[in-house]
Formats: sequence, structure tokens, C-alpha cells
Amino acid sequence: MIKRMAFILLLIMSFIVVTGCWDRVELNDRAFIIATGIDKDQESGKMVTTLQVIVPEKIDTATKKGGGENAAVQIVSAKGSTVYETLQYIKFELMKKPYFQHNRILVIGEQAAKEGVTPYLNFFMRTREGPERSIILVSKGNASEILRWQSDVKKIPADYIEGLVHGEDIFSMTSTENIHEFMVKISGNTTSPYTSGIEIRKNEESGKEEAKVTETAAFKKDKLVGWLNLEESKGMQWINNEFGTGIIETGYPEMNNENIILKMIKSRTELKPKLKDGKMIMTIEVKGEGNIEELKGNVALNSQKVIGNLEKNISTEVKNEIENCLKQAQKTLKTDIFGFGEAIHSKYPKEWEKIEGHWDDYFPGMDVEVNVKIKIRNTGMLIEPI
Amino acid sequence: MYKEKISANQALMLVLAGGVGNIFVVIAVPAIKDAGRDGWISVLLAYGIAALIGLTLIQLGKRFPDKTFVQYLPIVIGKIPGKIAGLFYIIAFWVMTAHILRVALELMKFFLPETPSVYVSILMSILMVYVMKKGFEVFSRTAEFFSITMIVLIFILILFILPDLEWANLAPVMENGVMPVIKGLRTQVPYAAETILFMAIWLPCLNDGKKATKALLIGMLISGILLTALVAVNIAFAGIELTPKQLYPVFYISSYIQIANTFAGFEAIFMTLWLSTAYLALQVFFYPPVVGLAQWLNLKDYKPLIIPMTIVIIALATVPSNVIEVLKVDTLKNPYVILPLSLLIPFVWVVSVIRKLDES
Repeated sequence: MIKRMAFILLLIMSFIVVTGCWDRVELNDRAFIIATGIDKDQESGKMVTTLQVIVPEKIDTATKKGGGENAAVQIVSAKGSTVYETLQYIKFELMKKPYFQHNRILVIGEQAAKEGVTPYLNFFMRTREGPERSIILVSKGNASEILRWQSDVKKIPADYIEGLVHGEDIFSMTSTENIHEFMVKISGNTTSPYTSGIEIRKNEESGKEEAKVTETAAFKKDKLVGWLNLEESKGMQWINNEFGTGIIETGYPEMNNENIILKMIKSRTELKPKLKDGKMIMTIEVKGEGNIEELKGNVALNSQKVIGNLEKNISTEVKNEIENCLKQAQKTLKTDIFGFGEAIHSKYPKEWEKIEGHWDDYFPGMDVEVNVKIKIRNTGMLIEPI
Repeated sequence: MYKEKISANQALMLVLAGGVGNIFVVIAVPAIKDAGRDGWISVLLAYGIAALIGLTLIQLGKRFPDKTFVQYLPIVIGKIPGKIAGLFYIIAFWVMTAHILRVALELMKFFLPETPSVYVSILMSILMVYVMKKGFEVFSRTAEFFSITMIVLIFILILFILPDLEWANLAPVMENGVMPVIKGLRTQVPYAAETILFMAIWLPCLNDGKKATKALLIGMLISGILLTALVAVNIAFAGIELTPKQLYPVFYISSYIQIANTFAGFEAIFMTLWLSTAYLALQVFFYPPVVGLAQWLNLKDYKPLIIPMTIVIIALATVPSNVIEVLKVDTLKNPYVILPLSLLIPFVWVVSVIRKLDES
């Protein structure tokens, strides 16, 4: 009996030892970060970290609208030499421990991105709080402007921006990569990362400031080297097999260039390197199928010939988009954001060994062949024009 | 000493416990460092080779049905060399138990950075001592539970990361010929052979000796395929440049998983996995030195040795001063300690065949 009592006592006492209290952090001592912004301060040469911190008590109130008083976030910012140092200052301001598990967006200022993102990403890869899934955005201008911008629609501005980027994905305007994808590419040393650029623009009519995703930031290794405009971004999505179910808009020459809207139902791109007379040629094979959603003007879609002509037209349009993008990436920016190097590496490992050392010089001069085959599957509910 | 009996199913679970154990956390980095993109082929081959070593061990077991590795070593290769080899085996596993404990603690330190690890290590040791005192049958039964949990959880991790994989990372296969794969075997065969060396001590416990082959082959097949898949997933997920830069690539995978934009934080699954496998691996490594030492000294019972040996383990686990030294031990132990030991098994078998030693 005494033995049993002693055993039970020991069990109860063990609760004191095995709770792990030593390293506890109470929930209300944690600051949940939803978005992070990183800037380089030109004057002092130091970095500025801006955080969007969730204010939990404001999330669930009667008003659903965001902006101003209703915003459920607090913006804090600090200047320092490293990310961790700035977090120390922010800790004093918040009186809470910043916690990155729920971080979803990492905005990097244009200036900081130009000088290389690896030093900043180091912290995010090293911490065990796991923010690797946060998407990276490059802001035109300062990242802190993006973080301080408030949405009318959402209580958490970062939510809105995330939706904006994913929305853009659905309509295939630009592509976005997260920290993990960035790090894989940067450490791989062949393919360079890219991501969406974001800016705050004043709406001419309403006078309100709006967050817009309009261009793609192209990197070389970890440094921002330039931008691809919307057209070129589309071309890049084709090349990277990310177009998915996007929209093609083109004119029809026999019809005074009236617009045709084609919504893709599937699309697929393959990079096929070829070896011709000791020279590498990259072939980009694009195949896709789409439905006509809108057709301005007077075209009767009642013959195979018309459909065929339309298909040809659309294919040429896509080909042009791709070639524009290639021109920008190869001749102007000189950065392999498409994974051409990796494609050659997998297919011609022996030849790749020779090229690998001077890939940066080889890539801009590479010949690229583009083959596009877009099929129209459906014309909507109309055949003849109304 | 061998009143303890285990069933064929328990034998399978023990093979899995040793075959996957805590290896799944540490296997990717050395595999990719040695064999690059073909690391997964190395792992697959290594488990094949280890299964062959296991078959020779079972042949040895048939020749000496009531004796363990430590007991028949002096008979086969001569008294003094046999005793020396046996002692090497015992000490190696003894030290490695401390190493496993330390590796387990290193990961705990991530989550409990300020908690003195000696408390965690003592708690773990209490568990270890308790199970050992209860006997091998008890461990076999817990292994039945934990091995299945382990396999299922690793499978879940692999399943949920599938949408984020880039299979093109695995191409080209064998770009530098077979040599990197062979080089990888140097560290991979020892990982796979750990379970065989553990089997060398428990084989006489199996109630039906004929089932041993089946348990071995199925166990090695499952653990081999699982770990090959895991290394391949690692390469497909983060590539061969980023993965070796990480301390725990599997932890990285688990923290990246997100299902339907809603469920995240799979680190919790990883930690459950980690703690249960740490327990399995500790037992797998601690049982051989305790029983082996008792047999080496011709003692009747191994139980009095448990507590003193555990105290040595707790002390030894504090020796490496930082995580880099811990990893150094991990890379050194494989080619220089476990590899010779695992090659000793086929050698002993060949000698016993030549000398026509058979006690059955």
C-alpha cells in the first residue's frame, strides 16, 4: 500500500517536471505576423523591417469592412543591420514576441532586391518558425508603403494582397514564387527566380490608393535585374508552363482587328533542348485548347476554315508574346528565369558539363524555336454573329 | 537467459524499428553529399546489400540456434580475436546509444531552447531503463505499436508533400556513372545494416526460427522502399544544393506542408514521429550492448548491468559540445565502426562454413 501510494505520488510529481514550462510562451505574449516588409535605407545603409501584426480582438466585430479604424492589423517598423536586430527593437515596441509561423507575404523593396535578397532570406530559412511558404513580392518603391496601405475590402490588408496575387494567377497575368522556391533556385545557381511586382497606384477616378500587381520582377541569382511588363509576363507564363487556364486576347486581321477572347481550358508547355551541329537549340512546344468567350464583330464561325484561321492567328499571337519575353530575358536582362539550363542538364548531361561553367554567357546567345498549337474547342452558345 | 520469446510479427516490427528508426531524419544529407542526385539509388542498393548480410546472419543463426553473435564469435574465429571483436561490437553500440540520445536531444533543443537537456535526457533514460528491466518481450510489444505508427506517419508526410514536388529535379539519373552511387554505399550500407547487427542479438529469441527470413526480407523491403522514397522526395522537393545545407531536411518538409490552404503546422507530426522513433532507436541500440556485455562476461542475468550502463550513456551524451560535433560523429561512425562490424557477419559465416562448425 505504501509502495503504491509512493508510486502515485511520484506520478503526480512528475507532472511538475515534464510540462516543458521552461520554454513556454503564452499566447498573448506572441505577436502574430501576417506580412513582412524589408527595405534598404539609402542614407544609413541599414535595413528597415516593417511588420503587419494581427490585432486579434479587432478581427471579429460587427463591421465587416476594412480600412482605417477597422483594420485588424498594427504596423510596426524598425531600423537595424540585420533582420533579427530589427525584430529586437520591434519586440520592445509591441511588448510581444514576433512569431513568423503565420507570415504569408514577404515584400522586398526594389532597392533591397537589387542588392540581393539572400542576406535577408537567411533569417527566414534559419528560423524554426517555418515561414518558407510566404510568397515574395517586390515592391516598386519602398516595401513599407505596401505594408502600410490599407484595404477597404479586407480587415487584414495582407489577405487582400494575397488574394490579388492568387487572383492574378487565376487570370494568368504574373507569377509568384515563395521563399522556398526562391531558395531552391538561388542555391541551384542555374535558374534564376522571378516573382510578381506590386505597387500602390492612385485611382484617377475615385482618388483612392490601390494595390496593383502589374509586372514581374526578374532576378539574376539573388539580385533583381529588371522587370517584365504584362505582355512579357504572359509570355513567361507560357514558357514556364504556368499559363494554365488563362485568357488570350487577340485581334482578327480580316475583321478590322476586332477582339477575340479565348479562355484556355488546358495548356501545356514543354522545353525540348536539341543538339544541332554542336550547338544547343531550345525548342518550346506549346499546346493548348480553349473556348471562345467573346467575339466582337461580324464573324460566322461556321466553317473549319474560319476556325483554322482563328487558331493560326491566336497561335501567332502567343508565339509573339513568348518571343517578346525571350527577347527581354535573353538580350536585355540576360537571366535564365525559364530553367533552360536545367532542361539541357537533364537531357544532355555530357554537353551540359561543357556549357555549365559559362552558362551566363551562353544563355543570351542561344537560339530558341517556338512552336505553338492552340485549338479552339468550343465557340460558346453562338455560331453565327448576332 | 533466453526464456524470452517473440513472435514472427514482432520480429518484423523489430526489423522495421532498426531499419527506419531515427535514420529517416539523418539519411538524406549524407546520401546526397556522396551520391548527389542518385542518392536514392544508393539507399535502395544499400538496403538490398544489408538484406543479403541479414541472410548470412540467419544462416549463422541456424548453425548456432541458441547462441547470439557475441557468443559464437569466439567459437568461430578463435577465442581471443572473437572476444576482442565482441567487445568492439558491445562498446560501439554502447557509445552509439549515447550518440542517438544526443541526436534526439539536439532536435528537442530546437523547441525547448532554454530547458537544460540533461532533464530531458534523464527522463528518456528512465523510460529506457524501465522497458529494459521489463524484458525484451515488452520492448517487442511496444515496437509493434510504434513501428506501425512510424511507418504510417512517414507515409503521411510523403503523401502530403507530393503536390509541392518537382520531379524534374531527379533527372538526369546517373549523370556521372555508377561511381557516386558506389561511394554513397559507404555511408548508406551501415545505416541499413544497423538493424541486422541488432538482429544478431535477438535472433535466438524468435520462437519459430524459420520465420526469420520472411520477417527480415519483408522488413528490409518496407524500410528500404520507404527511405528510398523519402530521399527521392527530399531531392525532388529542395534539390541537391539546398537539401544538404539543412540540418534536418525532413523537418523542413514537414513545416512546409499545407493542405488546401488551411491545414499547416505538420511539425507536430514530425515531433511525434521523432520522439517515438528516438525511443525505438534507443532501445535498438541499447539492447545489444547490455545483453552482449552480460554474455561476454558470462553473467547469468543482464538486468543488473542496465542502470550503470545507462548512467555512462547519459554522461557520454553530454560530450559533444555542439550540433556540428554531433553530426561529425554521425558521419564518422558509419564507415569506420558500423561498416566493419556489418562486414564481420558474412566473414564469420564464411569461416563457419569452411570450418564446418554446426551446433544444430
